[in-house]
Amino acid sequence: MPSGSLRHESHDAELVARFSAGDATMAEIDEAQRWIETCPECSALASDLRALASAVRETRPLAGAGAPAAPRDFRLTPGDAARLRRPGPWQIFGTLRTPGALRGLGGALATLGLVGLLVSAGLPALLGGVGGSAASGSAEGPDATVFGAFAPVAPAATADTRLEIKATGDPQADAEAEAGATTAGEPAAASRDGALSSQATVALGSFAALVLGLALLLASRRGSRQGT
Amino acid sequence: MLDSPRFSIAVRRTPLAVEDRRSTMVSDDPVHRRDGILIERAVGGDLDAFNDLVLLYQNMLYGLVVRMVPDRDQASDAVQEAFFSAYRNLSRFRGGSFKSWISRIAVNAAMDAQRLKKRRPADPYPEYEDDSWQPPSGEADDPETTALQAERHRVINGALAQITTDQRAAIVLFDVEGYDYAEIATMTDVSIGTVKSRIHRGRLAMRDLLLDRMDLFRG
Repeated sequence: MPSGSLRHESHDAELVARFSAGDATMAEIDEAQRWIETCPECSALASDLRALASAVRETRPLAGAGAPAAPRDFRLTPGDAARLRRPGPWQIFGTLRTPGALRGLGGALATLGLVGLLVSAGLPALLGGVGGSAASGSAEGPDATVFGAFAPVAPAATADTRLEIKATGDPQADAEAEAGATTAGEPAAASRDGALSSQATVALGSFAALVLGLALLLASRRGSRQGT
Repeated sequence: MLDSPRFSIAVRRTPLAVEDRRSTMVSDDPVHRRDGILIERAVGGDLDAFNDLVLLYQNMLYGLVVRMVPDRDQASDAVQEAFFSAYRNLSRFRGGSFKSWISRIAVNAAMDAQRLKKRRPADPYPEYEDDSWQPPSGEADDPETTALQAERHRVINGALAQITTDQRAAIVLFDVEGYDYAEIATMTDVSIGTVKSRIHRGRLAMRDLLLDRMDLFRG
């Protein structure tokens, strides 16, 4: 049989607080009542909490008397008004009027930006790797496909091209082979540059959308806090 | 307040426009109607109308904020910021109680001020120094009762100053200002359950802080 104070430690003080404030649910009332009837500490806690709430309420100012006088005049000067009428960055976002609209647009832009970033960073690598390995897969076997799937497009293609060049021992044949490889590499390099360029464009656009979306979400939160 | 000379002046400024706008107002509450008129004028660019609202609510707002922000200067700044914010966003006021709307802005300003202070605790946390808002003692009260009441208020204020900002805001709004759970939830942008939890935990924290002084409040 645990001693009184040990037993009290297992009791939920917040439940006693809820009960003493009349906020306990029907399921909680029985348990709280049992604790208060059988545990002196819980009983003291409940009565202390009621006394404290009552004491805090006593500090409520009486109507027309006891309310503190503002220490200064908070009226706005014409200068204040002119300054406040100028639209700041948050007010420009505020032209969308409602925090709900801002939230919706911000969420959509942020999601779009995030997806765009993921796609521009991950998908080309995935697709390019598969494509690159498909080109060389027949020569290099199934392992190349596995590694190629995680390799960037252009480097894989270049590597494939270079793997094709094998020394034959004949300097002229080797030179021709090298020249052929270089010629074949030019369209690959151009394609790589194009892919990188469009990838960068998508990534930049997505990043901008993400930043703008987050800014709109922040603006909607500020708007909501400022009573708009 | 409604028959104060200042209010009479405020509503007399452009009577025709007021009549036009009054038709769109549905509130029968004279305070809402008065505030609505002043808001309409202020939105139309009448700074004096907005300043009339400031005069009507500045003491109430300061009284609210000073309970949440123990430092008087900070409380003043929070109230000023609330009025600035209200002026900026007045056109988005969607009717209802201006008092609740401006209180909500002030509560958020006060909580922001408190959080900022916590992040930059340059000054030691001051004790509540403002006793002016304590209810005045009745004439029939004897000196002993008055002294006891003053001591209780001082102790309560000291404990309130030591609990968390969120808990203090919830307790002040509920117990002192008399708002209900739903109103506080709207004002502080949290759920009703969170409001209740903050109040209960705040009271428990105050009880822990005042364990040695509880004899002041018992019986």
